[in-house]
Amino acid sequence: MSWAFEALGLARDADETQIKRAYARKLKTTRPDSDPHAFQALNEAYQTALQHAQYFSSNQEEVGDSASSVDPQENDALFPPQLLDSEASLPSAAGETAQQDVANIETPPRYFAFDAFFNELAAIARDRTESELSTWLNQHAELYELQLKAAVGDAVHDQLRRNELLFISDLHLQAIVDFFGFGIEPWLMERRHALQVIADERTLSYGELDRKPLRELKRPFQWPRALFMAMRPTFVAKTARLASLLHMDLNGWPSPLNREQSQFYCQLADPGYFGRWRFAVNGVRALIGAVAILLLLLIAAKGATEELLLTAGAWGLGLFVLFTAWNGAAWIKVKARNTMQRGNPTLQLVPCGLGVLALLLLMIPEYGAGLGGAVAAFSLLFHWQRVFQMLRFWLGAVWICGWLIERLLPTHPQSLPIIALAMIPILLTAFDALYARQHQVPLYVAAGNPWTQKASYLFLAGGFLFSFIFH
Amino acid sequence: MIVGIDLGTTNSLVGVYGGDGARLIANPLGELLTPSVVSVDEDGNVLVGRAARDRLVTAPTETVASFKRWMGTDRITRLGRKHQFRAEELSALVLRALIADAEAALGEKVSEAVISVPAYFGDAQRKATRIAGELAGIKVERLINEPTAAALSYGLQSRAEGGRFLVFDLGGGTFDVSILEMFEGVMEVHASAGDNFLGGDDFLHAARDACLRDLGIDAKQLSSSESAQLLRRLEELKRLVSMQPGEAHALELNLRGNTETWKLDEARFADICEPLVQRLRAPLERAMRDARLTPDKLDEIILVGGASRMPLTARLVSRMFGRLPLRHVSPDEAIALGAAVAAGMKVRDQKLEEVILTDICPHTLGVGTGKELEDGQIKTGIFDPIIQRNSTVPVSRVNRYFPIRDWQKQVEFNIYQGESPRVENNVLLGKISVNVPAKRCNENPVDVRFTYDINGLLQVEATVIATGQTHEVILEQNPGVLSPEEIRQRLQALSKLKVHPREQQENLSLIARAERLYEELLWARVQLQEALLRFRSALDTQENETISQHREQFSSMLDYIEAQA
Repeated sequence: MSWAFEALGLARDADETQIKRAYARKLKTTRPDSDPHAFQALNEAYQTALQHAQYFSSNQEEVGDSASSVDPQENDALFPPQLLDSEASLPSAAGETAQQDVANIETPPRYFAFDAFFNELAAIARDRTESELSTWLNQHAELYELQLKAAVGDAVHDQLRRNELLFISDLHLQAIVDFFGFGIEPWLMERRHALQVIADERTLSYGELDRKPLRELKRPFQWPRALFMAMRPTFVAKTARLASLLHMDLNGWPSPLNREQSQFYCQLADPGYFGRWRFAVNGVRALIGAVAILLLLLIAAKGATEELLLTAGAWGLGLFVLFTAWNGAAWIKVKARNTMQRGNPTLQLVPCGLGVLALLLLMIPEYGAGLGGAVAAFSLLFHWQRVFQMLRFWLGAVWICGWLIERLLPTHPQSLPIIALAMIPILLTAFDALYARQHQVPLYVAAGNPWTQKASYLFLAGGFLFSFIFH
Repeated sequence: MIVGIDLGTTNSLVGVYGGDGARLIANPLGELLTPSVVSVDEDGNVLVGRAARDRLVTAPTETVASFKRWMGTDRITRLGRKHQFRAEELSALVLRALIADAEAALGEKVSEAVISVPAYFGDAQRKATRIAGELAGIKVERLINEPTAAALSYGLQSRAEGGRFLVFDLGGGTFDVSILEMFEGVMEVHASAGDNFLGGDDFLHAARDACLRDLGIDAKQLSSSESAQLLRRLEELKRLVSMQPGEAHALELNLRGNTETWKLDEARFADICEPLVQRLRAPLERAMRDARLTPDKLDEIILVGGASRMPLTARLVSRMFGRLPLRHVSPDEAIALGAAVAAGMKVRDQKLEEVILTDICPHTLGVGTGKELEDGQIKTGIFDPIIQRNSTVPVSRVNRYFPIRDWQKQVEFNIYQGESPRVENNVLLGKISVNVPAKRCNENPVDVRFTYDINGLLQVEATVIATGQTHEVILEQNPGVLSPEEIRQRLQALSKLKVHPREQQENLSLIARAERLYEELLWARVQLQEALLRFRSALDTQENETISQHREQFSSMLDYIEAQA
């Protein structure tokens, strides 16, 4: 702020007249047509200082007027706030007396009943055509007066933000916007669309034919019901997608959707979530599985009830572990992918390092093969999207390494597939790095580059030839 | 020598700033207003001004008016069989006539002009106006906004002590509102708004439509000559009604062989024009909102432009602002006088050395952008403003943009003018695409600089930060703007055109007027026929004395006949 006053050569408490005088003086040497750059800087200083002085003086007036509870931002507005209340008074400038010098005529204060006006506006917007609405608005004699119209327009805009009037058609809304001349923000239109979709339960524009997901989202959250609904195939994914799209368009405003419901579905649909609802859903699934097994056993085989229960219980437990392991793997995958995409250069080398570690572990006499195999398999999770490249590298590596091992380490023929497995991340990283170096891009972008692709085919062909010639 | 020109939709004027301030220069007919009408006669010669306006009735297919509305478009007008003109060329012909008048009056070569344009003119229209000047053979460095010009002439004349005023400029074809403040010799424009397709012509057309509806005539049944005649008569009626609003005025028309009578009073006229009056409201409201002023903070409301003479404009202003507007200066001449003052300021005339004018850019200018949504889809067509409307000019602003995708090789910017947050509702001014090195998107910024100069012309520059390369956008791909090559061609075509010499203007316009009256007034045809023959034979003698003698007689006779009608 003070830079502006300094640029004009004024003290910070300069008033409007002083600012204007200083600006005029400076303009004599800094003309807009001869020095555009200096002029722009001077003009910016002038505008800033002027705004500050005006804001400051209007603020002081307000304090003097005892309206201390009003937000200072509001004071900057051009209209006294009390105009907005219904039945507020305002000075009149009647259209009928146009031929006289109305500025000199003292007229008694008139009242504008905003609530009644707004109710009628809403009724007309609902029941009549948009041209009738425009005509009705244009005919409002009081609204010719600028100050009143601006105040009423602000109040109407306010109601719009508070969801009133959002039910009317686009054309009607446009008529109101055109008349009052306030801009309507795009987010408000998106929000309006989303609200309409929720009210009509027509989710087709969000790519959803079924009404059930939306109805479910509007319902209050009850965990038994939610868990039951989550058992239905594809329901969670559909509902979560709809909920996230709707929330995006509602722009974080209070919505008619139940917050807990949408949170529940969105969490379940997110593979990166591994919390209590995941366990609960898996538990219910396992229970259903166990009951089904029990029923099958009861029908198919006869035996001691206790034994059947135990078998079913074991199956249930097994299913639970299986589901949870599956979700856990997905969770690890997401975490790993996120790490990869963040583009941390040292983290890029983790799979390669794991491959080297696996090769080292193979040296351990007894458990080497098992440990090395596990580490190598884990390292492959990072590149899970490049399955076919990995397969080609693996086959090539098996053939080439097979030949090498036969010659160099004849004592370890059983660890050949594991060596080849550990070679995959090393080879992938090596070729990626070559490509990245040549093209000067970071390593994580090199995934799926043509060089590594060609290299994998060469490896496959080369390995095949190798084994063919030397065997 | 530098002159100021008001290139209007219906009339154009030329003025100059001299020792005794700004003054206007009359055309050979002794009138300050030269109608912006161009006509081509049977011999292929070009007529401009009053003579051409009279030919709107007698030769409607060879005559054109109101072409200012087509500035900045590629619309081509055919005149007669041989000639085709764009709006720039027609304007150039009018400019040539005005400059010839100025040169005759000043006895000096005019090399440069300041031309006034509606404040709400966009980029293409401003460029077209400059090109019109180029085609007329003069340098047009400075364009001045019409309301600013009006305020300049008004403010310097009558309010030396300063104040805030609103200029309501309703011309023949355009409507402009500007809010200005004058203090300490600074004329500062706060806000401008307007409607480029609303003017006196529209009020006239509304009256014509109502008239034809009342008489039960389909507009398509009228010949082009008849409809031109009808418009001319209605224009007279409109003026009459505006001047004497108390009483009803009748109009007698010869249409399709019948004589019809139509009555109009002010109340009926206001009723007919109600939808147009409603359209005047929005720009006024917006200018007030943008200037952040309440009506009581305004010192004056000034009406300029010929169409502001209609009482309904004053009524609208008083209903909206709670006071009556002022009309000190002649509403037709204020803009031209202001343009002349601006011309004086351009050459830094000593008396004007103390006056400094700062204007604004009436439109928001920006580029179209896209953003990636959370689900990975890309939403395009979002308008991102770089220069906000009502910024003081000259102004230069930079915004930084990033490619949407990593490793993108090319970025395209579309440049728009308008107020809508969606680009499809705004005006496309041009395109630029720049090559960027393949990098991650957040490391690959492109700076776009918009520079809007004092004449309202936009320059765009894109700088790729990574390479330091700067691309300048040529905003001339717009079909509404001529390229330099095209300008050269048109200039050659125009130079081949035969234009009636200035000295003959008076005679020509008398003949055109007589021909127009012949068409309109059935009862006077014999007299007019004879008088025309006599005058033509006098012209053939080529003796100046005989001609001027006959001219006086002829002219007073035409005056008499017109008064009878």
